Order: sequence, then structure tokens, then C-alpha cells
Amino acid sequence: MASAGRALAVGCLLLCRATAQDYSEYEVKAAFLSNFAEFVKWPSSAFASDTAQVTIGVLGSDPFGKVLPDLLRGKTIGGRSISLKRSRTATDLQACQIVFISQSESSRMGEILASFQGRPIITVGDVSGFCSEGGVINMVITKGGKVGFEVNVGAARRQGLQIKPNFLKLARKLY
Amino acid sequence: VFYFRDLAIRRKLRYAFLGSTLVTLLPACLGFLIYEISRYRTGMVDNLTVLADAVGKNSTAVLSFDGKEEAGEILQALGFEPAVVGGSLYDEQGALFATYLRGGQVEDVPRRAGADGARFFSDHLMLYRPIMLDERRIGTIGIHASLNGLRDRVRSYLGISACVLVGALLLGYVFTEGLQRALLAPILSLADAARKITESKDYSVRVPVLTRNELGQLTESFNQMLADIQARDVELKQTNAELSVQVNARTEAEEKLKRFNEQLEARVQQRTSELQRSNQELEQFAYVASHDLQEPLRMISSFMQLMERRYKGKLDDDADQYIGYAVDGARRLQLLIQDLLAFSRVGSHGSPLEPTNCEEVLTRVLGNLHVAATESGATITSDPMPIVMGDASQLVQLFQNLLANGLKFRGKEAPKIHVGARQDGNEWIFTVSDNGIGIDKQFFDKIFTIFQRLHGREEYPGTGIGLAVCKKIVERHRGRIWLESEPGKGTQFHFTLSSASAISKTP
Repeated sequence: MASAGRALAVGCLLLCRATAQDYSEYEVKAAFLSNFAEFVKWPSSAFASDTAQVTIGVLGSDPFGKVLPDLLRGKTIGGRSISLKRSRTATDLQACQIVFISQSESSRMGEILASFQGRPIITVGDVSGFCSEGGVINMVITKGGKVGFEVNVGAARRQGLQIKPNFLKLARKLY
Repeated sequence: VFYFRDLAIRRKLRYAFLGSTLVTLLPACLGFLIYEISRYRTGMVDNLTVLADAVGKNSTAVLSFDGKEEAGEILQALGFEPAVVGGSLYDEQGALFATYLRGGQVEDVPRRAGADGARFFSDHLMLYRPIMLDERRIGTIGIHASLNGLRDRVRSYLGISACVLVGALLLGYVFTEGLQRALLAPILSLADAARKITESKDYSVRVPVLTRNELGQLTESFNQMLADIQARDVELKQTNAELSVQVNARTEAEEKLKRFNEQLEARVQQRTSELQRSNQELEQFAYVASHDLQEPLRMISSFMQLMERRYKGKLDDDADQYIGYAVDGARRLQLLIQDLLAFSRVGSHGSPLEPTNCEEVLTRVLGNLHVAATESGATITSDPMPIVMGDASQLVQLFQNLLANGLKFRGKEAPKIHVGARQDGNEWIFTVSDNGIGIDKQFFDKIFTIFQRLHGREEYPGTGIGLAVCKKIVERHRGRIWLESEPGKGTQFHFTLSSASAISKTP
């Protein structure tokens, strides 16, 4: 309970500071990443059972550091708890529901995205052209210096994901 | 309240009806109004809650991804509800995140989120609802709604209520008009009849029976009562007439009786005075006669006695016997005349009544009767004698006659005579009792009549005047005389005399 309270406090803190533009780019991005799961619906095949965890994978070098585990601690999505998994290889993260592909992997992005093709996985990146290469959500920096996101609706459909309309409305760009 | 009590029934009925209409309708209208207000408010809160929740759900993404511009757009949806004049989104910490204001109706929205739920103010409603995302609170939505709709609703409701009330009162007024005719007509006609009867005392009036209900019964009872009163009135008048006839008749009879009585009295008086006169004349005659008779009788008697002395034994035996008869006759005639004289003297030659000591009277009587008493060997006793009002010489005569009778009508034994006296109120009752031959009851009245003799002259001598004199003396003293007797057992003569004290007290 205490850890959950702290996580919530940090989340709030982040969000508040984000609005006040006092947060670092990755603090805001971590909060966004943890919120994406709320607005996406997986097909039932994405989980082994009704009580199975939601696993967020980070592929490549982790830019979030301690921020992400702190945010996710105690958080649930649709009654499921969340676990974090870091790996250098895409094959390790085939069973994840959300995979963040770090900028460190941008050289072989096409290959990685192809490996997740057809699986109910939200692929998230923060490099330009991520969506055009078949990624689902790409976090971008707007002209005002704020963090925003782009969504590739076709890719999401191909991955078997349903994205809520009010989320789509917030997207900077749709593919 | 006192005012209402004395109102005419007509008005009372109307007021009661209209009053009850008001009493019924006012709370009903008020109740409906309250219900309407509460329903409106509940409905409003429900509607706004649904709206807030819907908009709040749409706002989860903008709150999650810092979409302030988009949040403004989402809040525009609140504008579809006409009552809403402002809305606001607050973040997880309750800080203002986005605002919606409908064209200038409110200046601003609160900077911080209020507590969840609806709060009514004088002219607006504030509603705060939580915004949940996956069972986690991520913010608050606030709605500022105008209550103008409610005010309009209340105003129109009040208008309708007023119309209903006025309409009901008008209807009630019209209705009571009809009711008055139906209900009051019998009562009013009854009251009218009662008033007329009171004024005119005419009990032949009848009230028409208009209805078959209690009022009809009342009217019938009233009529029946009138009929009874009328019948009684007639009866009373008849009885009165009869009574007055009777009274007249009785008065007449009384007058007749009175006249008759007067006549009778006059006649009695006349007769009495005639009787008195004739009595007086008779007494006068008896006195004069006896007085004048004495003179020739004395002559006859003296010469007969002279003849007896001178010629006794010188004539033959028959002559002696004849002379003896003549002398005896003359003596008896003399006795008779003396007694008659005494009798007539009682009325005409009496002395006035004055206190008289009966002791002295009795002493004189015993002196007079001394010889006769001694001869017969009689014992005479007496009670102490009182003082009475009387004529002394007449009282002597009275006592003497009674005592002499006692001595004369003796039985075989020696006479025993007692003179008693006892007081009874204002009078004294004297009793002279003897042990003589007694008198049969049938002669009790007869013996007081003059010249009445019960025995032969040879058996008991006497003129038959003694008791008549006694009666006359007692009556002159305003007393009574009577007797008790039984043949062979003696006689008690009683008579009354007024006591001296009683008379002296009333001179």
C-alpha cells in the first residue's frame, strides 16, 4: 500500500511537473508509456489467463532508469498487475503486451518491428519515422516543447489492437 | 370564531364549503409544488450527473496525456444541456485543468475542485463528480448549472395552482348556490314558518315537505308538533269556554245562595224577634197572671182555711172532706203560681251577673234544705266550691232545685248526694250526683220542659217546673245543662258556669 501511494505520488508529481514543463523529457514519456495501456484493448489471445500480468518490455538501452519502475509499482490495468522486462533481443519480448523500443535500436528498427508483426503488442518508440516503419505509437516533441504522440491505426489493427477514440483524438498525427 | 357562530346558515354553509375547498387544495398544491421542486432537483442532479460522468469519461485521455486544448473541446459537450452555464476539469490534485463558460453567464469557475456531489445555491447548482480511470481517480469534473429552469417551473406551477384555486372557488361558489337551494330551502322555509307562527300565534300554518331526508322528517315533526299544539289550543279554548260558563253558573248560584241566605237570615231574625217578643209577652203575661192570680187565690185560701177552722166537725163528714180538698187545691194552686212566678222571674227579674262565691251559695241551700235532709237521713258532701260569674239568688235556686230533686226521688236507701266542681278552660263544670231512682234515657230531654212530670202526684209531689227553671237559669248564665242516669242507679246532673277570672279578664 505504501509503495502504491508513493508510485501514485510520483506519477502525480510527474504529471504536474510535466504540465508545468519542469520535468525531464523521459519522466513525461514514462508517464505516457504507463498510461497507454489504459486506452488500448488487447484481444483475449494476448493473455495466458484472466489473471495474467501486463508485461511492459524495454528493448535496447533503458532511457527511463528508476522512473518507470517507480511509476508502475502498484499500478494495475483492467485488474491486472504490471511487470517490467528489459532485454536486448526482440525474441525475449515476444510475450509482452507493450514493448518500448529504445533509440539505441533505431538502426535495426524495421527488422525488430517485423518480428512483432501480427502479435497483440503495442509497440512504442520515440524516433521519427517509427510509425511509418510499422510501429503503433510514437512519442514526439511538439513545437511548443511538449510531449505528444502519433498513432499508426493500421498497424494497431494489424497487431489485433483496438484503440479508444478519445485517445486517438489526442494524437498529433495518424497514419 | 364568535362572528362565524352567529352567521346566517346560508353564509356559513358557503364559507364552510369554500373554506374546506381551500383547506384541501392549498396543502395539495403546496405538496405538489414541493414534490415538483424536489423532483425537478433530483432530475436535474441525475441528468447533470449522467452528463458529468459522460464528459468525465471522455476526459480521461486528455487528463492522462496533458491535452488541455482538447479538454476545452470536450467540455463544450456540457453546452448541450441548457441549464449548464459553466464547467471545469480538475486534475488528480484538484487543480483547475480546463474550463468551459457559456457566453458570459458566469465570470469564472472555482480554481479548486469542491467535494463530490451536488450542492444547491440560491440561483445555481454546483455538481462535482470524480473522473475514474481503471478504478483510479485521475481528476474531477465540475458543473455550474443555472436554476432558472426551476424558477420558471415553480412560477408556472404557482400560476397553475392559482388558476386551479380560483377555478375551484368559483366552482364551489356556484355549487353552494345550488346546494343552498337544495339544502337550505327547507330549513329557511321552516325558520320562516317558525317566525310567522311566533308572531301571529297562528298554529294552522303548515310547512311544505320538500325533501325525503332528515330535513323532511324535521319538517314533518314540526308540522306534527304544530298540529298537536293546534289541537291542544282548540281544546284549551274549549275548556276555557266551558270553564267560564261553569264559573258564571257557579257565580250565579252563589249569588242566588247568598240572596237566599240573606232572606233566610232576615226571616230568622224576624222570627227570632217575633219569638222574643212573644216570649217576653208570654213571660209578662205569666208574671202578671200569676201575680194577679195570687190575690183572689189568697182570698179563697184564707176563707177556706177560716171555714175549716170554724166549721170542722160541725158539718157532716162529706163537708169536712170537701173543705179538705178545697184547702189542698188552693195550697197546690198557690204553690203552682209561686213556681210559675219564679220561672217567669228568671228571665225578666234577674240581677246582673257578678263574681259569686259558690261556697256561700251552697251554705244557703243546705240551710234551706236542712229540715228535708234531716228527715230523709241524707248525707250531702261537696268539693271546694269556686267563684263564678252569676246571679247569687238564681244560683241558690239552681242548686236548691237539683239537691231537692235528689232528696225527693230517693230509692230505698238513705239519699247520698255529692256536689262536685272541676275547671275546664274558662268554665266550671258542676255535678250533682245522687243514688236515687234514676231516669230512663228517653226522658233526658223531656224532663227540662215546663210542667213535665214523669211520676204521679201521689208518688212524688211537685209542679213539674223545677228542672225547667234550672235550665232557664243555666241558659241565662250562658251555660249548658245535661244529665247522665240509669234507672235504679242514681242520676248525675251536670251544668257549666263561667269562671269569674275569665269574665273579669274580658269586661
